[in-house]
Amino acid sequence: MKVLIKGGDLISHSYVGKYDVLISDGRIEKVAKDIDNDNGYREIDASGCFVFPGFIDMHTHLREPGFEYRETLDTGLKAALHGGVTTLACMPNTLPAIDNKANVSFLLGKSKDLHLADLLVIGAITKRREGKELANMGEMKMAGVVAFSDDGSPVTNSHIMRRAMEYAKSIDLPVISHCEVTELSNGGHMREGWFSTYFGIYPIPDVAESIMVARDIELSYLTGERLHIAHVSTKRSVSLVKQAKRDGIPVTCEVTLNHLLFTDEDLFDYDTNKKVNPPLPTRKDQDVLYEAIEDGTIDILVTDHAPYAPHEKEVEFQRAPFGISGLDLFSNMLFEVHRRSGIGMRKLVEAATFVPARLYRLEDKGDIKERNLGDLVIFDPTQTWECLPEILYSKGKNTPFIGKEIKGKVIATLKNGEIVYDAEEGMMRRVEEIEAR
Amino acid sequence: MFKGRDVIDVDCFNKEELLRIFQTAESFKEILSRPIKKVPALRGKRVCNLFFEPSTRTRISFEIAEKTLSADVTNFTASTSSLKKGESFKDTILTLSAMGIDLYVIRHSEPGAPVMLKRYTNAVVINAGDGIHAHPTQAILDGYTVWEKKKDFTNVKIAIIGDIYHSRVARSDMKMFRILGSEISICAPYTLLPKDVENYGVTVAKKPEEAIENADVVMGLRMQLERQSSGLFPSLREYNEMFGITPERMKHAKPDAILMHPGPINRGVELDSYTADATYSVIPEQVTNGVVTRMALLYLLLGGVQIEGTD
Ligand SMILES: [Zn+2]
Repeated sequence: MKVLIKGGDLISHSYVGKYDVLISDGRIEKVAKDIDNDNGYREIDASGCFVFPGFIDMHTHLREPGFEYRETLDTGLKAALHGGVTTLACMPNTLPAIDNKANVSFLLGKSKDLHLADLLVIGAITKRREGKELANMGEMKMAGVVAFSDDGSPVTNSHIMRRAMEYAKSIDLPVISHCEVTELSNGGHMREGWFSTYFGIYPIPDVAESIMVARDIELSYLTGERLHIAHVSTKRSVSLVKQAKRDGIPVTCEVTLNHLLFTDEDLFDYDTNKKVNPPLPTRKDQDVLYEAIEDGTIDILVTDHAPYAPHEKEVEFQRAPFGISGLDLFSNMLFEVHRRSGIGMRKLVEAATFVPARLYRLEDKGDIKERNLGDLVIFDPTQTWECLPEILYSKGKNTPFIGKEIKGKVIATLKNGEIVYDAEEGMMRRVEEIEAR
Repeated sequence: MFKGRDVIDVDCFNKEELLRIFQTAESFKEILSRPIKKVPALRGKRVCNLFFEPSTRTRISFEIAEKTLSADVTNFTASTSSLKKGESFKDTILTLSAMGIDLYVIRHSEPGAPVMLKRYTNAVVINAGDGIHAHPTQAILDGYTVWEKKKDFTNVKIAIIGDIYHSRVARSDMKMFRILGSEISICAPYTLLPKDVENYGVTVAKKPEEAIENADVVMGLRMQLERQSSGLFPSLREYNEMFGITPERMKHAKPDAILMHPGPINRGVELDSYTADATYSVIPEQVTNGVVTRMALLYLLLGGVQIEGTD
């Protein structure tokens, strides 16, 4: 069965502009102008739409095991496809934590059986994410993890972090660091600045992040380990990463779509759906984040998808947990970043496809080109829709966009050349199709 | 121009509106001196005092104001409430909403609680203090007190000395006195100043003497002992020595300057005992003014019937 996507506006590393894409046996066979359909290919009309490579979101929380009331693999992976994400990595801050091979195998096996988006697993750096003893990194690598992180918490002890980075280097996997000096951030709920003062919310200073960014860059310098800084949100962090890259230290970093779309000023309504850690940046810092995407200091874009149950967020601002649900709206948020920042679509799309594929060595993903997997998103930038809770596949309705009008719409998501999400039909029943074959 | 509005913070009013509140308060002052301290202005209106944080002074002040205006008053305090049984803020409000409340007065330890309350009710909301965010009715009574004494704001210098960081009163006062056009000079160790405090339009003085210099109004703020353990200052003794308002320091103010304090006072900490009791202290008057300004607000927001002696 061959699928022909006609008339779309491709935005990818290899092709930008009007091209048709022919997919056969799950892979892209041909990208060219005006491919004729005289062989009875299944044709998808993408005229007026963007065609992106399937997005790769390297920072999500899917809550399984342990917090299934917030999200499950099933709901999370469906939310991903709804948002145009065909490959995603989940963080290990579950209960129990993903700190051993059995838990890794459980997630990988279960996600494969679901036949939705591809799941990558990030293993914990330390046992139970306690920051004390190294987790069984080697075993987890054999079970298939792509990186290590204690995300949600920092590895506070510098010595443990050093040893973890050395060990991870010896098995050739990167470490992703959640940088936060908790002595400085504890008790705080938003970025320290004029708006935290004005809103009377206990603040978190920007250096709570950058101090640890500096430490981990130094440890990367010492150990030579590939270091990836999670959710960079301040100008000081950007400046440190930029200098480290100049110095040839193997450091990369990411920014979340939330930090590109909202600022501390947006917390005027004390909306807990905008409460996130690291806290939303000041406008000045957000401008620096935009520049850092343009100049390549920031490598990749992620959601940091953090779903919560409604009752957890419907509380006083300072009592609410940190986190924003993002997978369902990945394409929309990325498009919105383009509209607000003026950063070119190609740059943004690459930062969520080609670059993460390169960093995590996902060889046949992240680009629209011959022989890559047929993972594609068809996105109509002109349609608008109302973001109602029931439309989101994620159990987490905690997004600032809830109830709002949204510009642009995912028309279809293809995984391995098959339509897995269709705006009209919803989630396609791939499992049955596959079993029937 | 007031009816149905919420008072989340004092900067929801412009100068003209604030002056109108002061004038209304002035006309209410006479009622408190009558033998029968009651007018039917808010008869049939249901007011609920929602106190999620313990408070005696503010709650009593509101209650007297409400009862003087003949409103039906319901008190809800966290200690007697179902909150202790684990009921959420949201459910508490949803339950109360079914009871036909016209106006809520809310005090809460969390900033933004009055904004959150607005999500679940159409009633008028008055913020009676939310965390370290705002305390607009205290600011309005402070503004009225200054108006009563000085009859002017534009040529008035206000000095605020003390723990501004943890003071919702200071935060609302800074906003209001700037709206009214006064000059404000503040002083505290930097550990007790919130980030970018200059953005309120105030000057930060290095020493209390400098802030008090030529001031018409000197305001002290409560200093709490527990701040010491969080590393914000070394000791109450040192704090008093360096930032306490003493008769000596008051000499830097204008001869007719007044001393204010939102209470309760820590004698020997932020205020010297002599200072607190001195003739320039208007602290007891602030309490009376709290009642009349709250009466004025309730009356204006609920659009009460005309009463004799008011316009
Ligand atoms: Zn994190």
